[in-house]
Amino acid sequence: VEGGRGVIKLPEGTVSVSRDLNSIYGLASSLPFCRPGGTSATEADEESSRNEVNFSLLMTLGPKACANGWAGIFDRIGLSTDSSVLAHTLRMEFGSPVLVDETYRVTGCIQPSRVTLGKRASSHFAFEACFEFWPIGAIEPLRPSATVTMTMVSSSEPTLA
Amino acid sequence: MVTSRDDEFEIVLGPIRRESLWTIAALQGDLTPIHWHDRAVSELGVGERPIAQGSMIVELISRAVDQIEPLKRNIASLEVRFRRPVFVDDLLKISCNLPEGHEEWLLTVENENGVTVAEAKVEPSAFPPVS
Repeated sequence: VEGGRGVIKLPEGTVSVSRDLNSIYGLASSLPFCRPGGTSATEADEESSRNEVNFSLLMTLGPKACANGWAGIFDRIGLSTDSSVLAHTLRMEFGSPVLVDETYRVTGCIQPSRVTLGKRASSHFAFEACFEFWPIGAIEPLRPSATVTMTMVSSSEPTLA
Repeated sequence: MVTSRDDEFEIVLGPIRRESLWTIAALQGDLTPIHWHDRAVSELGVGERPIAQGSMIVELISRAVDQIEPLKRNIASLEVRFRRPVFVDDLLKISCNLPEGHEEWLLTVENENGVTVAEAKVEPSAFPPVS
């Protein structure tokens, strides 16, 4: 166990947010690529809306940078990808915008979650994965550009502690 | 298509495509069978068709946020609670109530049977959108 009781600190990584990936993500769910609270990228306004990164792309880039994707996360906590792991909650907080073509330092950790499960899931286990996206530049910001915390519920016990 | 009445907005999205789940699974490195294998889902006892990734639901909520005029501002935070699985072929309705003066918005995602599958809380940023 690294980083404190029951906390697995993942190796730090960097991601360059690709414009192409942003676009593919939008296409995968029949969406124009979106930005937090911004405007859809139509042909008319592509230039003005090209900058910010799709919300859910952050959910891919965080694990990719730190543990080579969600399969790698499951592996780190002793669960196989055929374990019945279901998403419970997701929270994203934004500081400065996450932009395409920029590189971010990504930190990540996995830890047990204190989320209260319902009666039906009382025999299950909850854990959360948290990733922070820090802009790389001369001035270290006070807070990350984005923080993504995802709580998941599993029928098997993660080997966190 | 977005429909609105007074402070209420509604948008219908979907159906969820199986191919989209494959694409997202490949991009995420998420090889969990419940996102692509019908039998894995039936063995879990929650349904008969593959379950959409959480990121897909976030994507749809992101789209709703993007299409509802009063929400088109920078977002300080987004919180999603996944209530029930969303399956391939599901058609989803996202509704939002925007009472004047409220600084936090709640979005509800329902499937075509009227079951709430997700709820989202959006907190707008105090700052204007970046151009």
